[in-house]
Amino acid sequence: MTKHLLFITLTLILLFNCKRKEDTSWDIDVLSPVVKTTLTIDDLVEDSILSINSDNTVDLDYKFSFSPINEKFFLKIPDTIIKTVYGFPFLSPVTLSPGFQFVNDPAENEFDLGDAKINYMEVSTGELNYRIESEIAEVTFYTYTILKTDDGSGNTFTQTISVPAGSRTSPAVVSGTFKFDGYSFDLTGASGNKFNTFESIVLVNIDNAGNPVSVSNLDSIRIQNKLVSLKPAYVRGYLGQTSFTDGPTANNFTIFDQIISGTLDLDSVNIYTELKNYVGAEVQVKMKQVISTNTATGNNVPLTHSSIGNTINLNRAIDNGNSITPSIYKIDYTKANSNIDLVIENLADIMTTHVEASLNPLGNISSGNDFLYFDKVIDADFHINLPLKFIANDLRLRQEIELNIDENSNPVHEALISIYAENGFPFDADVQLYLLDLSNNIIDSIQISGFIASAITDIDNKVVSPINSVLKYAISAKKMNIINENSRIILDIIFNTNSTTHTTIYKDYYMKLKLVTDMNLEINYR
Amino acid sequence: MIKIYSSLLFVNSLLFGMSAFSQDSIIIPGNKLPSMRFEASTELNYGSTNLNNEFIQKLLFGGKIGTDIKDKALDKINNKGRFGVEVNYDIKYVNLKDTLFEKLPNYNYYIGFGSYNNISATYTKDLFSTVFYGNKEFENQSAILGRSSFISTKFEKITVGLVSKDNKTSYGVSLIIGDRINSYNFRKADMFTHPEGTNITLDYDGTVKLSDGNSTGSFMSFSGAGLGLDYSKELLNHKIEITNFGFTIWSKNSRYSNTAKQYDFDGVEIDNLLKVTSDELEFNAKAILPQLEKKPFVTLLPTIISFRNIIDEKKEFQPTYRIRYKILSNYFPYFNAGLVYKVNQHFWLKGTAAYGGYSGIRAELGAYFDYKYFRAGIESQNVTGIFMREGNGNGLRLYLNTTF
Repeated sequence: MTKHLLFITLTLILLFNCKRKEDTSWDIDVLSPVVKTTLTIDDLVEDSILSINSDNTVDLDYKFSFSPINEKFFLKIPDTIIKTVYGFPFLSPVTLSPGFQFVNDPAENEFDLGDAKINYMEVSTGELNYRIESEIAEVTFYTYTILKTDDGSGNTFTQTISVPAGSRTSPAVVSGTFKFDGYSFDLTGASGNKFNTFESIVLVNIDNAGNPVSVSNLDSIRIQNKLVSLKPAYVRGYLGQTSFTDGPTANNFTIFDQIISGTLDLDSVNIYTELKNYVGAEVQVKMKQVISTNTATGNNVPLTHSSIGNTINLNRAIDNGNSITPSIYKIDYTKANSNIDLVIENLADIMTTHVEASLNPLGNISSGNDFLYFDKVIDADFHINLPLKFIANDLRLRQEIELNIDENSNPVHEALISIYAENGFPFDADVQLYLLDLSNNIIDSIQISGFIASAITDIDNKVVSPINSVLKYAISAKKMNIINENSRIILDIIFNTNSTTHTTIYKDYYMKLKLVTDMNLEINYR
Repeated sequence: MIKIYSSLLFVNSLLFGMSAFSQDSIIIPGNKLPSMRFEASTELNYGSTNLNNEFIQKLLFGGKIGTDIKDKALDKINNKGRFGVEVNYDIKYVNLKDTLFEKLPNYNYYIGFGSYNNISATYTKDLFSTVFYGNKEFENQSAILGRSSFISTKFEKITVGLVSKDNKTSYGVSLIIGDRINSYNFRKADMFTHPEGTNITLDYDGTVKLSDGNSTGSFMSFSGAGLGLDYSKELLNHKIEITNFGFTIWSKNSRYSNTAKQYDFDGVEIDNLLKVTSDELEFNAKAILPQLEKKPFVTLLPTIISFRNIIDEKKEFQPTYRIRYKILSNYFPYFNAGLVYKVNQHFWLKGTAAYGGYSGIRAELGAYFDYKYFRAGIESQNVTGIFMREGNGNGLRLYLNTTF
């Protein structure tokens, strides 16, 4: 009796004053549809590469930018230091009155740009770092002006800095930074016929509101200006002769990266490389090699074509003021002029490229009228226009799926899963599931009975009616534990087209899937 | 003396979380001539017509509900099952000298505070099976889930009232502070599981009322507000009491649905199986459920109506009986009847047989103490539940009354 009363009291206290120490749980058997979906070609292929033709056939337009020929290969503005010391030519002390300007120093400064001869530059980003040391025993004003500059609103770059009074033993020191972002520079110097040259003036005055100050040849002002990290947005002039190499570079080639085995026989494929030169100068490009690599099979197929290893001349672009018309060079690859079919059917996931290029190979033939917009240089794109008309033979696509579950979040003990498929595509599909360990090694598989049968097709191999199929697979408690521990599975889908002739995929083909589970799971709440 | 009384009240409050039950169930022997009175009462009980104590305790306090106890519970359901938990407490201060209204010199006033927490359900055998076994056993047949109800409600009240000097009549008006209401009333819910589970169809007609989902329903959370009335009257050696007659307006983030619809569920529609996210799955799954409107609604309070005979404290043996009902709480009318035995001048014992509320037939025991200005009582509302393994509930009422 005491025990029971104590039990009641304790449970009531637990009910109303304490938190539950254990979850309430029980097991149930659920037989229910879970999810359904309709897959069309839109779902299977990225929108960005999908192209629908007027007859509802489907093309894949895949573009692969294989050479990072960008602004880093072109003109660089080195950091430029300008140091000046201003002294007084007086052996005996001389008194300078307030407001007296004792420095007025125009100068020309030249960027070291190699053989390039630039007469105009627009700055994207950059800055001027200054440091002034003054031994003048009065406040002075230092004004630095770069002539023939423009901030876009008609203002010349000019900055005035107040420098405190200093002494020979303890000079006043002032330092700081000014931004050049958005300024344009005329680099023709004072005469207007130079290049790489900018003109500046340094002015130094005694403070108007200050006192007369005595100076001699023992006093000086030391000024250091440093133009740092100048990144041009645009330059005009002669860009000079440069050459550069990119590669060999292993580039990800994603169009076939989920295909791990099998063969894909394409009816036709339209493949070309397009080189677009946006630089206002002649460019020579040489594609030294293009190699298709299937890392799953280890098979390498180098592209053979007359363009490989030979020089391609790209004409200069035309600057229209508001736009640029690039020069375009197109290289078409066909079965007749190359081995491009083998390159594609290798189902590569890596494409290795090796490119050389040179700028102004013929020198300054434009009389200093080259131009370069640094945000648009040379595009080199490999285009694949692939009509979805093919023969697939045991074509295995693999996708690794992260389930984001663990023992605590997955309430299912075991399950029998049925997939009801209504297939409107003219190919069969087998499905296989593999379980992974924490190191991504396949350690088990889930047996799936049945396959998704191809739709019924007519004499032209066009779908006339879909076919229903059922796939079933059981996930035992043991296998569920493996999934809970590792949370990753591999889904393989093996495709076989239903004809020996090339099968065309149309936009309106679809596959309806419904996933039904018969599962034992735990209901749990705290 | 005041200190002692205060300490006793405090201990009582600590032990039972200031939970209390209406004192009307407690025998109140004798009448004193006090100047003020403090009352505290608590009721804590749970019960079911088909769930045994092991099942209920695991449901409420945690633990794995195994197949054996589920089977026993299922066997006990005939037409409908019933389950409920009540946690109520009241404290009251009665000024026995003063009156609020000069025109009512025979009435004293009182101030009270109470908290009422109730979770209850009525369910069909099929609903119980579906919830605790799953729907697989209903493959190719209909599970009748309708005419079932689940209500979870909690509110507090602050009461000002009048009580007659002879303690035979009282009136109270309460401000109701609504903390939580989750009400699901399925008038009809026939669920057909198609062969191999390819579809589930549900012929549904039901009402859902949910209070502020952002609130935890904690103490004085003001998800709703309302008005309540209390009344008690002694007449011809009987006492009738009506507690919490009123309503609550739930207007803060409340959601409501009153839908009759035929659902055919053949899976949550997802756009692309290869790119589905848990957010998309959850969003689309919720879209299948009855659409809940964000709008205020009004609910009646779970009014408690009680009727009992009044004990003559001079008699050594005498009969006792009581009827109690609680509306909108899945409550079955409760009856008890038995005997009261006066052990001595200060001590009474009561034994009754009871039926209704949330449990079936059961025995009850009570013990009551009265000494000078102190009265107390303790009742077990389900003695069979304490002693018998297959008992279907437990309950405890406590009462403490001090006057000085």
